[in-house]
Amino acid sequence: MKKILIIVLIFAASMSLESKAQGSYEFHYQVSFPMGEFSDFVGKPGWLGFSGQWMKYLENDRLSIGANLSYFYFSDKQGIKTVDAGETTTYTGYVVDFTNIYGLMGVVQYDLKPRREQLVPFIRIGLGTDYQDQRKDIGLYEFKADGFQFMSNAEFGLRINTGNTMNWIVAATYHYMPASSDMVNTSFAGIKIGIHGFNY
Amino acid sequence: MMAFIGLSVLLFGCRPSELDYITDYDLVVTNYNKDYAFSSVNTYFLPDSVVFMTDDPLQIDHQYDDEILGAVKRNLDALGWTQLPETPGNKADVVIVVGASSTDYASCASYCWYCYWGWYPGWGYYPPAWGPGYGWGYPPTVACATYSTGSVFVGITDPDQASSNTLPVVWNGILNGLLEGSDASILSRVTTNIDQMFKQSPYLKN
Repeated sequence: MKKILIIVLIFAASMSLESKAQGSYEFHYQVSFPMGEFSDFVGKPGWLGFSGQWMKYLENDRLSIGANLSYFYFSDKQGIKTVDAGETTTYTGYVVDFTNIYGLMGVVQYDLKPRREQLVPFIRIGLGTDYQDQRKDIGLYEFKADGFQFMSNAEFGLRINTGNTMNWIVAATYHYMPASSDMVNTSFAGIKIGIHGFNY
Repeated sequence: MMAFIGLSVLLFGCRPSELDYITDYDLVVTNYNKDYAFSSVNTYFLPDSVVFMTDDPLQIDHQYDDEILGAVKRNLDALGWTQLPETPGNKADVVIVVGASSTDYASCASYCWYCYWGWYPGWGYYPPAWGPGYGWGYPPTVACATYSTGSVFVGITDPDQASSNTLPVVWNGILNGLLEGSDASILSRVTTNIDQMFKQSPYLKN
């Protein structure tokens, strides 16, 4: 719990500082749902996900670009399992899978309505990289696969402008990171809520 | 700024809580030679003691030998195999080897007791004023822990296939876990996990 609090505070402080520059900033909390091969690794939803974002509008005032920093944590205590590992090896033990993901992406966003309207739907894509640390604990042993991956993200959301400098964000989002360095393909959908501030 | 944030978050990677029971740390692994005809095995030799894989005589403890060998024999008999006495003239299809080892671990770590106490409010009336925050100048408490792990190895070897002073192991089972708890508890886990070795090796059955 303390770690979560510290992460939130770091992001919030970061966003506050970034707000002094021209542009908009966001801070999100996200619940994520593993998909595909990644759901075999961790089957349970990831309740811990945060992202912070700074954006700057271009001359076309519906189009903005920026950077997104994110953190996701997934874990799954799968219990005692008997697993065939290869053709001739079988193991039985308590399996715990978990992973920490740290992402950094460049982001492009297009607002489907003028940005000062009360409800502004938007679409957003992000491309970048992440460092992921996947661990599999079996009994007293831990197997680790970590490294950098390509990270991509697509998102559809809605910004609710309150008339103040602090607005609300809700969005459906999808992340994909291809297998790399013995890590499994990583993909997950998510629902995020967040705050949006601007000083343009 | 981004680098600072990235570094900060990197330091706070999460991991699941520890497992609840000692048995949760038990691990059973089996491996076999897929080209070996286990269906042709009918008889076996089983030594009367467990081999300890250590050069330290203080670590050799045969108190669990009877139970370990008993569990192995029970499972081999359940396969339909017959134990032969090791007397001249007898020749068994396979020889069973049973070994064990244990390792003691000790580690110490600084224990930040005030980190678990929570956010303290700051006391403004001491000069100079202390603001809210984490961390005091006191040295952290150092906590030490020791634990032991043990392993039991069961191997099936075929003496007819020996070559170059090497006895091929056609099947092996390994169990590993914490050597913690009462003797009865450890024994129960050992026999349960020896049973699991054979349960997850259905190809041994005639």
